[in-house]
Amino acid sequence: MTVRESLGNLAADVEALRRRMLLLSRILPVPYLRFLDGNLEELEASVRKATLLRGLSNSLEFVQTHVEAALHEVWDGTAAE
Amino acid sequence: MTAPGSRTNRRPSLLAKPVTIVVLCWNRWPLTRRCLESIRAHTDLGRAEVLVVDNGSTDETPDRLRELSWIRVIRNPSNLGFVRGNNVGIAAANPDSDIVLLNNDVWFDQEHWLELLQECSYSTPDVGVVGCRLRMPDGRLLHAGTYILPDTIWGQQIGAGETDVGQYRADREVDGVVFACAYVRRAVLDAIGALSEDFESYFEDTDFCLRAAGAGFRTVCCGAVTLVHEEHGSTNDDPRFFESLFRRSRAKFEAKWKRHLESRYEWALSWQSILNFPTGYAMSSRELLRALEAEGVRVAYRYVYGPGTPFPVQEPEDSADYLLNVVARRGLQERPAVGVVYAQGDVFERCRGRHRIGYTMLEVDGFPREWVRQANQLDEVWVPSRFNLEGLVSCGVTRPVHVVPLGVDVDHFHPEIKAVPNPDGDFVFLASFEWGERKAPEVLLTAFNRAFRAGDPVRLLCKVMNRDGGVRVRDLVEGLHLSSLGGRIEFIHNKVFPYHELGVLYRSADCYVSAGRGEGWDMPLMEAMACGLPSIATDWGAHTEFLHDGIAYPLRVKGTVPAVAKCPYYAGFSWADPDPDHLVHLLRHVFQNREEAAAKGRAAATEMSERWTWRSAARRIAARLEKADTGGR
Repeated sequence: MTVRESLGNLAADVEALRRRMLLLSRILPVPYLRFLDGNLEELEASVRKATLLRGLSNSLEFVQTHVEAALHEVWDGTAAE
Repeated sequence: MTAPGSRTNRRPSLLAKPVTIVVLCWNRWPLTRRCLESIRAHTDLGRAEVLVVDNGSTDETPDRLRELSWIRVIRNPSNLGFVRGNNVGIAAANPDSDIVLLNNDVWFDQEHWLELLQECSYSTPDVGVVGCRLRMPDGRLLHAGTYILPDTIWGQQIGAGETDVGQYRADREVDGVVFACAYVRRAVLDAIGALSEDFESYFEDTDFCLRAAGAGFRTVCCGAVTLVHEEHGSTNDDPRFFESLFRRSRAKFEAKWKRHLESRYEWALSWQSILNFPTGYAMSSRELLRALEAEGVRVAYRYVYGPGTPFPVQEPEDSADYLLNVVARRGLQERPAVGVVYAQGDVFERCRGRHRIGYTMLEVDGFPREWVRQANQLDEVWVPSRFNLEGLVSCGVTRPVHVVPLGVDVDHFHPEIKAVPNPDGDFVFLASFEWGERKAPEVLLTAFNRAFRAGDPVRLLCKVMNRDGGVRVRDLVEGLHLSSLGGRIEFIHNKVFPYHELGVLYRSADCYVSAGRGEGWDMPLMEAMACGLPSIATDWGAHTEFLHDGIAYPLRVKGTVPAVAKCPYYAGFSWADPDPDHLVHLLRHVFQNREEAAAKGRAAATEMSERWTWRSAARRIAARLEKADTGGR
């Protein structure tokens, strides 16, 4: 690999990193920008692992409960997935 | 019976009138001590005198009372009973002062309770007797006023047994209040005298309130004051004693007031509908019956469905509600003067009145041929919205059609209901719906997921119900392939809440979203708005009757599309095609303009309480009966 090729690869890596940071800065609001100092691979992986189905099921069973208890389940992240 | 009134959190003025607080006690010194300590801790005693009437206690009460220099004590030689005991206190009070009657088994944990009661008592010249919210020691509500029906002559406490989430916080006119706590203006005592000694105990409070009403004074439950009541803590514990006392008083009350109570009805109405199933018609039917009863319309109910109808299921008999059970057991006349069928239009022909009215709604832009055929056999048809009126007329209904809107329960849905806020401080959008084509859940979920990023401090909470065995909600949501990098969504799935607690759900969110294709009314939207939430809702359908951009965010529609759904009533008609791009815009707009949104929410709450209560709905029905000259008076 020539020096020119190495520099080109490095520039491409930097550009890719810059794009990811720009993307993350759009995903993350200002208070979370500090996460940019963290490991991007780990951060992205943790976001991808987040579920969008918490609390949802195919069940037709009805459960009588109090509103306050149900809300605490949601806020605490303990609703069944 | 509910009247718009001030809510809590106001600062009362100082006591303007002198007050004598009469505390009646008989033994059980610990109860009396707790009551007196709470009075002293939470009352400005500068203009209030505390007068304890000891009804012949035989325990340590007389000795302990003598030790308290800040109270005045009258000792009766024996137990004179509740009525005569209180009358001794009233007679001994400063003749210029108003009176507060207090049981010794109540206590306060609220400042300014007396000022608030007095302020309520003098809010208008015709308020004469003021009670307050009573809560049980376990946190459940015990009383927010009383009502009494001539059918059973048994006073019922409004709100009893409900979890106290802040309901009934407005000042409301009621039939009566229990005299565990009652502020009585001196003018009332001057006009009608003290408690009637026809009653030894029980019914004397309702009797007093009815006598006050006869002299032109209203009874009001002050929603700003709550005290704790350990019921029956001061009465003899023997249930046989209680029962015999109760029966004697009830018989006297019936002889005195039954005819008067019956004369309060101006109209009679037969109401064929549905009550005891989890449907929109049933829920609104329950509210309408309660409101009609309070507005002087005597309603007799009969289930309109059952074998031989499109819904052949028998209705459970118990409504879990005293008033509704009484109304349901009145029995329908064979040919009542006025009959209303409040249901889908394919059971209109079951209407039994001489003047026959069908009251219905639908979520699409027209009505099935069979509904139209049956509607044209009636004297008149009611719908809650102009949207439905146009649909009926365009489909060929030739009978008179009137808009008779529904309402919302502002006692249980208002901005001071308790909230359980999200602890992370996230902005919460809320949607509550039954899964199905009409609610277009895929439009909302994909728009929200697109509008936000996973890291934004915002989430969508969907309360979803699904009764359809052919629908697998989780699989359907998975099939939407929502991005885990997009807006976060959470679900409350198939959970059934007590109706009186639903306000907590709305109050725990920041914005309500109803982005469906069509509505016959949209009660959850109205409840959310009454709770003070800014709302985003499809600008098409019956709810445009109460939705406008001054109090909400109308969601544009791209046009109408064929209403393709399992529901057979929709075949051949159209409904809205909500604009997903506009929904994304509105979601982000509300998130970024919270103050503007909150102001719309406040305006919505005001408009709901001023224009769209069930009381207003019942009054419109009574006005319609009047205009139609139906002969039901």
